[in-house]
Amino acid sequence: MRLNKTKNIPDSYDQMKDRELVHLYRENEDQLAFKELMNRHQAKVYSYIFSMVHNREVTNDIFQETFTKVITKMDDTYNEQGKWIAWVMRIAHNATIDHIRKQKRFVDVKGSYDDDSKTDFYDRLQDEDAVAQDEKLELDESTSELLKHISNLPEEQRTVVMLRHYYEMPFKEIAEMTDVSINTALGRMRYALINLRKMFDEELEKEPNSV
Amino acid sequence: MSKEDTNSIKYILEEMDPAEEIEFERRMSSNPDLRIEVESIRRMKSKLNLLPELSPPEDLTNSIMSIAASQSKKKQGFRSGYFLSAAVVILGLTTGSLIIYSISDSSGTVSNASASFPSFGNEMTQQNDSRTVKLKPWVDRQDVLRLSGFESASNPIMINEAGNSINKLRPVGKYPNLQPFSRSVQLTGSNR
Repeated sequence: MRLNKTKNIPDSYDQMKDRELVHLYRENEDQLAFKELMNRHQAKVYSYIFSMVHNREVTNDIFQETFTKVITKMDDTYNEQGKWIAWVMRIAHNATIDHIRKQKRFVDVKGSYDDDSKTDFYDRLQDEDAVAQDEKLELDESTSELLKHISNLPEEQRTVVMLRHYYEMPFKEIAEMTDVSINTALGRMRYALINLRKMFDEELEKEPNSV
Repeated sequence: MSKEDTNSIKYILEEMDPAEEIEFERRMSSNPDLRIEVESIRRMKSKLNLLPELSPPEDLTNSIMSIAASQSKKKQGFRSGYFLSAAVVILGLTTGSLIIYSISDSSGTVSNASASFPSFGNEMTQQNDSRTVKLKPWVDRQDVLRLSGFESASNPIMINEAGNSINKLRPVGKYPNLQPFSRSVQLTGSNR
């Protein structure tokens, strides 16, 4: 979703490339140029973060942290040679992974294993969060199911799937961002899709009406 | 992961070049298992299209825009400070160089003056357009100082001005301490 156009962003900004808008913001402190950049990319950045953490509040925090870094670091660390959005995504990705790893550190996996559901604390936390958020988002059943399964994917597989889905990022860039070879990134994508297929199949088998 | 597994995911994600794609399709047509595998993964990938695109809350984007605005103000403040400092430095340098120039200029004037009015009988030199002109002072019957040697100067304006300056010089007729037997020549540029 784009930001409200009543904020007087000139139509000419629509035609500009990201690079030109970044230049305008950096050199002339043009707020409208930055707003146009936000307009273009905010939904994808936000969706990517949400798909990784499955929690609105945490997503908001990481989203704000990401763009605060974008604003304060743009002069120092962004060179205008590379794609601006790839640079932003790297910041968003790092902030998201930092958060996930911090969360994992607080979880005593052994102590929280539940024999009845055969899940650990982290599994349950993700599922409960996903359900709670789905209610808030009023998503349809199949989307909720998909989000739930994605949340159960290993972090590195989830990352590749989301970067590819929301950004159609070439695997070369995904590989660079995640510090692996292209073949490893492709392999993670393949395993993610196979795992998702398995989860859907298992879900189907659990349904009472299934034959 | 086998090479064919890598190829199947590359094929689905359209990461193959056209030649690789044609070759992979040829292999797929002769291998039903590979075809099933590709089709199954492709179906799963198409399910990802259900993923929602979410927007951040408006208050969040507004707060980010206000951070951007305050950052711009900081940058402007920094730039103003920077320009102010630069202006002060430039002003200081300019003033300093002017002072140094005026000192050297006045010392140059003194040296020019000493060159222009050496003790009589000596030759003096003037720099003009990097050429050296030798001027020789002499006193006419009216006790007026004259300079000879302008013939070798190349700049007509300089010759003219120097000639005019010299013509303005008059002997001092009523100098209080002037001794009648004095052989020195008293000069003035004043018309009085």
